Amino acid sequence: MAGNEILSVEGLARHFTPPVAVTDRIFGKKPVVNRAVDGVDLVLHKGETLGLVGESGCGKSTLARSIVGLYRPTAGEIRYDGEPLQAKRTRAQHRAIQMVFQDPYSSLNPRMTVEQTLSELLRFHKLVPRNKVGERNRELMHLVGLPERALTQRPRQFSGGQRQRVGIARALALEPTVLIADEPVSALDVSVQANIINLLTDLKETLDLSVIFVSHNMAVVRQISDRTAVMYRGRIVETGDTDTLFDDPVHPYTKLLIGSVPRLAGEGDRGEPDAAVAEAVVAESGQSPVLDEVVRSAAREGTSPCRYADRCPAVVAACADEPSLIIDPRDGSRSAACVHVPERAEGVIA
Amino acid sequence: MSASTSVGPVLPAVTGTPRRRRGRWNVPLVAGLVLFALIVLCALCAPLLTSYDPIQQNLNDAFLAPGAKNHLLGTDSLGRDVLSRLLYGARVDLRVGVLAVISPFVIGSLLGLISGWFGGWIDAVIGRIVDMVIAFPFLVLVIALVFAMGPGTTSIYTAITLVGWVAYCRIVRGQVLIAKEQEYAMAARASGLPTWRILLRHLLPNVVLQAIVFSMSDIVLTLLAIVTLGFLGLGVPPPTPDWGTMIQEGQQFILDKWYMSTIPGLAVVLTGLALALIADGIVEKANK
Amino acid sequence: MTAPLLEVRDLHVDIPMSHGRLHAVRGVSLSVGVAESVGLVGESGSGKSLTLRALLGLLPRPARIASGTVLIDGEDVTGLPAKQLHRRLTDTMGMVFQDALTALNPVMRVGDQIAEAPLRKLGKSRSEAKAIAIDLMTEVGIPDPERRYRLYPHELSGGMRQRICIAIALSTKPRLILADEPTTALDVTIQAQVLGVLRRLKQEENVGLLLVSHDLAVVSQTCSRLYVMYAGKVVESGTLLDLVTAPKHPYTFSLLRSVPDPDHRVARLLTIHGQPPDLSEAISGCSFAARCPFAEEACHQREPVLAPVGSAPGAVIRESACLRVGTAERWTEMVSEETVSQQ
Ligand SMILES: Nc1ncnc2c1ncn2[C@@H]1O[C@H](COP(=O)(O)OP(=O)(O)OP(=O)(O)O)[C@@H](O)[C@H]1O
Ligand SMILES: Nc1ncnc2c1ncn2[C@@H]1O[C@H](COP(=O)(O)OP(=O)(O)OP(=O)(O)O)[C@@H](O)[C@H]1O
Ligand code: SF4
Ligand code: SF4
Ligand SMILES: [Mg+2]
Ligand SMILES: [Mg+2]
Repeated sequence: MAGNEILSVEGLARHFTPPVAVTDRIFGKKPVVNRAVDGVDLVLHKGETLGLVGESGCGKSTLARSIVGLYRPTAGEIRYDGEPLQAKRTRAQHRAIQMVFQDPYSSLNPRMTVEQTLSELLRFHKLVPRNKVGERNRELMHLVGLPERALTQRPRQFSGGQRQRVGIARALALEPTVLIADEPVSALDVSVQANIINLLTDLKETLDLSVIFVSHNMAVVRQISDRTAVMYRGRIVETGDTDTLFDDPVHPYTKLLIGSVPRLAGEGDRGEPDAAVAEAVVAESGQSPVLDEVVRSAAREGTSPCRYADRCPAVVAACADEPSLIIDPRDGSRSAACVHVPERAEGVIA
Repeated sequence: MSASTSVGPVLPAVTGTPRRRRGRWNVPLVAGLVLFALIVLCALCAPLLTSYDPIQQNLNDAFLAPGAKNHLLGTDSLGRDVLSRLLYGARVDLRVGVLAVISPFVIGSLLGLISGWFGGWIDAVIGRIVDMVIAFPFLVLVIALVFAMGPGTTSIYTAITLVGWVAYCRIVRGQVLIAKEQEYAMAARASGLPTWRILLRHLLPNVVLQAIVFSMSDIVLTLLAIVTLGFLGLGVPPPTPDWGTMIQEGQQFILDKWYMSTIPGLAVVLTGLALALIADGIVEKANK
Repeated sequence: MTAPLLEVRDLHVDIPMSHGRLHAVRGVSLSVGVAESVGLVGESGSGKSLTLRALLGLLPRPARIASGTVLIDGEDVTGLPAKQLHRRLTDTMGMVFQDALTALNPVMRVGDQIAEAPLRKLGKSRSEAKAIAIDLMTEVGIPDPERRYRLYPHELSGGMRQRICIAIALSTKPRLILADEPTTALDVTIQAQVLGVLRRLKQEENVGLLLVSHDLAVVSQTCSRLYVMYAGKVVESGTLLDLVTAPKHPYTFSLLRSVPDPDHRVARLLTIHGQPPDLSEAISGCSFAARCPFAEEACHQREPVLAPVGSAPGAVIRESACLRVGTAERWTEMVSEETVSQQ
């Protein structure tokens, strides 16, 4: 697999520091830094769709925006096609990595028609000769399945699903090789989601795109992505082939996440709550003595404990020193940030 | 809803034209514009509407009541025709009022745009200046500045610009702070467009509306400021007619000749009403 | 057969607008038996929330009930004087909303908010009310309830807040809980826990549940019978198992095939084209006709009525509002033919 990486992220961090009032600064108060993204390693291969999942606030959007260049990383590096991206990107680099946004209502400029939006990009990036701009606009409409007359309309004349198509057309206008889609279907009605999922799947094939698909909806990620990365409090805690990851999660958080997804009951006994959910309820409800020990020994040794320790039903003394992603000895394409990975591979625990 | 002749998985409902709103009049906008146009027209056509010279004194005919001796609105203490003073005064007041709003509008909006978008020390510096100017009441500061520079229209423009831009700066800055977090602004940045282009083409049209709406009431505010300046003897120098001076002069006789102040006062109110209607209309139009 | 706990007949809700009115709920009839849990699913704007709110007299302005009958234990309460009606409704039902943060009073301790109804409505003493509140908190799975009793809403996580809301709904000892998308704002792991609480209530406390959601899977976790709403009407109803395995309305059918499954991927999701009709206009024919893969000429002319299908004696009534319900067995074939012909 290695070698055909189109995009890679190494040790990426993006922290948000809230402004401190002058009076507080005089008294030496330190602002509480929000470590939204806190050391992410991630690889995107050519032509694959990588699903990025995790709970609300775990830093998915911050990571996505950092990759697109909207946020300046606090630390770490993003490489595109082997080249590290600098703070100031070239036009070509801007074009190469494009984003589809979540909110169909705020992601389009309310005062510009679709045509104005697209033409501006085509002209500025000199993607087609000036007299071909109109033709390219119509092509883009066909590509995302909108009628040509949509070009003359303003965002408020579209439904949510149609706006999302326009948002996709805007990203595709720049002929990117990497598409970052940040929750592109989350704001859409269930009956419309499938349209956009199918569209993205088709576009990926026809345009040979590499896609990072951010979502909190596990079922959608299973449907659309080849590989999946699970994020927790600013870090990737597990990655792997989507089917293996869903069928046989390694990290306790991934287990909980997948076990929590509501299944359509009625077909067999799939509706029953997962054991992982029940375990998590127990783990969260009380202080475990092991956890206390972990916190104490971490303080003693000056290490930071695993960021999942306070919720983890499998916590052990070794968790006092946060593990980084450990490659699964049985399957080199998957890895998880949990001390249990090696034992698990040897079949010591399930 | 007709099925469309479209390719692929097209949603058939690009029905376009918003169904409900078609053919509806924007009543406040139309009413405001008509009223304002009438006022401007009266001011422009002053020579056609009255044969009197607004500064021609005629002490024999002083204090005439409205209607008397061919003076539709009567005469003032110096026997000048009130109607013609009103019409010619409109020329002066409207010009000063509108012009005195344009430069604070432009300067304030641009500074607000820059301040909100870049943040950091630029925002801090502009913010401090704004705070300083805002610490004083608008009128007090304008009066002090005009007093320092001496009466006259140039002083009035300059003073109002120096004080008035802060309101626009604050309004636009606040709107920019909201707009720059909107995903369309992010999308523009992500596509690598240069900053000036994003600011002027994507942000400005979306943030300037509030400033335009405010400018309508600001014209009234400025008119009142000019009126007050005239009232204090710092306004348009006599004998040039203006509404403020007329109100001030009439005030001395308010008890038995109430109409002398009331008629120019009504002109101010009517102009204010027209502008307020236009502002309402703009808001309604934008919300469609 | 005993009368159902709650029955609604032909409910219409209107929203007056500057031009005409929005006919948002267009004749909904449904019933919930004692200790039964029933789901109401449908996409955004189909009128689920308005239906639920109408039942408790909590319609947002300017929406109003145009007509309809509500029966509690078989007794028509619609004609009761306003105060008595309100009393009757709130004694029978409690409600849980989607947004727990705005549903709670930000400046009151959460425990006191739960204790309020026992104190004021049930006439308990202060200490009794507090004991009841702590019991309820335990019941909805809030660990360490004594300590959490004294916290304010913003000091709790989203899942905890929603549990507080459920406890408040339970505090009047209602026989039925109306829940409007109670887990939509929550993370999936928290959602699973809250659904677990609802499921336990049903099993252990004999409280009935009317759960509204846009997510069939969520509803299927707790409910044994479903109503599917589309454009202000119920288009299909029946047991969960029947609906999921053999839908008898094309909307339910399409919905089931357009939502991805977390356990396996499909080659291609079925798409439902277009969007729901504008409810401020009159709809002629079937309201789903513009999007229905099986629509034929008649569907645009004649309005289908909700009618029983497949009458196995003694079974739960199964209803569908589709002119072509007779072809239901062949729908799967028909859509696969269509997808093939499209390519
Ligand atoms: N511009 C910003 N300024 C300050 N803090 C921010 C900013 N953007 C995000 N954060 C904080 O960073 C953290 C991660 O946010 P982020 O939006 O990346 O999460 P997410 O995983 O996308 O969540 P969601 O699923 O809710 O979209 C949150 O605590 C958030 O409050
Ligand atoms: N307060 C209101 N004012 C005007 N229209 C309203 C109001 N509340 C609801 N509506 C309209 O009534 C219709 C039904 O709304 P309702 O809230 O019942 O839908 P819903 O099925 O609950 O959808 P959702 O899943 O989005 O909550 C919608 O078209 C909505 O726009
Ligand atoms: S490292 Fe320890 S605390 Fe962290 S997930 Fe693994 S078992 Fe749990
Ligand atoms: S009546 Fe016709 S259009 Fe309506 S659901 Fe049935 S087949 Fe489809
Ligand atoms: Mg996000
Ligand atoms: Mg609702």
